[in-house]
Amino acid sequence: MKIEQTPIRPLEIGRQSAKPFDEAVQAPTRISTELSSTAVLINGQTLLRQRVFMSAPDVEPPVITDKKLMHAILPVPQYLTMADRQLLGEIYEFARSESIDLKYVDLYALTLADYRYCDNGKLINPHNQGRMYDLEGHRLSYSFTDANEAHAQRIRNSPALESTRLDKGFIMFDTDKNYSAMRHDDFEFLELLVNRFSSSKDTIPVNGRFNTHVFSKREFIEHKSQEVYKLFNNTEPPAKTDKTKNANKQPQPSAPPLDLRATLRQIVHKYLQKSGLPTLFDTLMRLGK
Amino acid sequence: MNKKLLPLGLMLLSLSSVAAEFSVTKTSTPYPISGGARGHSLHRLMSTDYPTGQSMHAARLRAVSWTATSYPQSTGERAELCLQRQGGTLECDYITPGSSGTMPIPDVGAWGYSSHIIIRHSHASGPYPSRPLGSDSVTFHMSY
Repeated sequence: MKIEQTPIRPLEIGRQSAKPFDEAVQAPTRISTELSSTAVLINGQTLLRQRVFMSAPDVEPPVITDKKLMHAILPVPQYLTMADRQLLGEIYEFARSESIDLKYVDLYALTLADYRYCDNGKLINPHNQGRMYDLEGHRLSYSFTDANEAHAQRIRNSPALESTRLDKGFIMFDTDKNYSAMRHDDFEFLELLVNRFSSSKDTIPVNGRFNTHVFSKREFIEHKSQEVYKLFNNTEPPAKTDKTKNANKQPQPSAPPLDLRATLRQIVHKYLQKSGLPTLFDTLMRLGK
Repeated sequence: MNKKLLPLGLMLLSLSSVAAEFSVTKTSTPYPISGGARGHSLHRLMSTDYPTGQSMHAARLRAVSWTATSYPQSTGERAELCLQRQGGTLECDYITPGSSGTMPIPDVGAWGYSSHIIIRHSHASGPYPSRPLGSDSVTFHMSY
């Protein structure tokens, strides 16, 4: 009996793929990396896992569906549904193929995850209902910048919205200044996604507009009322006061607790004195007789 | 007999109509933002925060004032103030990171042991982990 011995080859560590990176994304291919000889599939799902879930490329983080698990310690992206993840993978591939900075997709994915995390926005109170005040008592409200307002309206009125594969509930939430003035997607990019992932024939061109994403620190307008409102005594609705009166009734964030027992005793004593009724001691003495 | 109990009844009636207010401030440094997990600070009242001799179950939360810190190394920073009422669901308001403000609370029941306020911080990108600049503070404006 003849035994053939196959020579053992050394591991080919560090060999790079011959194909350029973009080509590898368009047609998913296994490539080797410098860090490991394990082949890695670079596709949209892998990009999603690496950039949003920060997990290993071959690990699918579980979907959290239990609304009771609304704890801050759980990673918010895990609230993305499987349908969200599938579409986000396609969006990453689209962005890669169009040389779009992937930070645009990251921001979209995180905003969508926030929306899912808050039970599709149901746990978020609207901004402009007169609930927010600064520490001086000025009522605050929020709106989009003019450019973002115009973009938001364009998205809401877009014919592509009817047939888009993006979640329409999320788009309406994201473009509503009463909910999303303080945090929202890049509307120009969202408009592109709504259009490109729909059956619309009027395709919006990319035109190199999204090559570099720059985060702006504050992209909303905060409106402050001239009136100063007196808070804490009546909460719904707060009573208006002028500034001179309010200056004496500012909330004291670190005010010590009142001595409630002394206050009650004084009030009861004063009441019984005014009313002319016998004191509690007198009453108890009479009852005892 | 009724005549004898009348003063006592009047006294109890006057006691129940008395309202008193007090405020308690809680400060906590939020956790770093790590990956997909948010930084957060939790604020709750303890029984020792209530006036001596008063039941915490009778107290009502009238308003909340807050000061939220920021994460200077983060970009696309976001913050929200969330209220967890006793036996109720969580509800949140978006707030500006690094800001202060006040929010009146509609009277919907007692503010008990399990009630708390969370300030949550998240970002679109930043180092791993991204650390807060300072602390969050929440002032509970309470009344009986």
